[in-house]
Amino acid sequence: MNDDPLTTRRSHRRPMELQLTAMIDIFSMIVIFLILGSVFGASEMVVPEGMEIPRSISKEGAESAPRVTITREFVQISFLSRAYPIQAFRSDPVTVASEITSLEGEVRGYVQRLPAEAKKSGVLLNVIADRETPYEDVFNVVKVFRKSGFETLLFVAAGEERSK
Amino acid sequence: MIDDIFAKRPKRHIQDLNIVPILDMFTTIIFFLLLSTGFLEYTKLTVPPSKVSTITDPVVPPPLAPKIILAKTKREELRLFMFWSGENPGEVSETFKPLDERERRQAILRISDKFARDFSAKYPKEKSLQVGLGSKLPYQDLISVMDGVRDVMSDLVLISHHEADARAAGTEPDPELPTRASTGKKSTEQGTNG
Repeated sequence: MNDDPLTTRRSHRRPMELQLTAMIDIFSMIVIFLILGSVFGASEMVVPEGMEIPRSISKEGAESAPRVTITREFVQISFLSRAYPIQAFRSDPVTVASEITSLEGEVRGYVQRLPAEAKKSGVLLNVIADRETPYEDVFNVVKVFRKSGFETLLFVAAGEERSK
Repeated sequence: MIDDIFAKRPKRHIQDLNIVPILDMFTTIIFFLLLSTGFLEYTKLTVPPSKVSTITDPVVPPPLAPKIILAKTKREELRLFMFWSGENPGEVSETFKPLDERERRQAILRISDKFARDFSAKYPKEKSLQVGLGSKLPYQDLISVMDGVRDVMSDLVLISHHEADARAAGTEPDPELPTRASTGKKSTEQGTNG
């Protein structure tokens, strides 16, 4: 046994090496998992800040379609640049506001311009509204879009488990 | 001279892959995906286009045209009723007073599901249902009613709040009468279908 510190040979110092191969493997798997697991259609759904969408037990996924967002004061349409006051939709059928008449024309034009493939499974419209919005307002708004050529309404809601 | 004849072969170097920028890129992609992905699950409910049916043969019984309506009573209770026409018209209804929003959702879901299943058992071929709410009831109630009936009724059509309000006013029980609903829930059933 050679315990003399003066004669003991110092072990060779090796710089620590990081095992990068395993790390790259894991990173690659995470990237693939995230790409496959992401629902890019749903990310197009922009819910305005402060709006609470209703809860639903439906398991159907969201579909990519034009959106109409009903807030407390305004109705915003994804394919038109301006917002319409909710009051304009409340007028009775006899005295329809002129801006609603012009809106119907614009929406009808948009639906007509849609490619034939988009119309194959019905002309879809996503409806986004706060859960506290009165049914009266929701009905009045969707009525305009139904009249203007949208055939199927998709009410957007947040998922919720069915309680037993 | 001898070096010119026997030229030294260049030493072979093993090319090292520069992994650091790859790692940087992967990390950036992961952060991008994590931040841009929404984990909130969106769902949708589909309302198909409405249909107009015309009766040409007077012998044929009128269509069932079932409707389910949720309205608020004068007692500030909620009343859900389902009625239909046809050869043997009928109606079922239930009145309830939920304490909070969650209980409200559950109650609407449960009662509408029960009504739809009972109706479907009597008329299994009928898949279309008209849905309406009182004018001031929240949008969440519409979604809850639709959730309740969608398992058995695939075609849902919205009807006007005017019709719902009128129906609620016409069939509303007299507020002066004592209610049996000590638990805050009342159920009535009318109809001759069996």
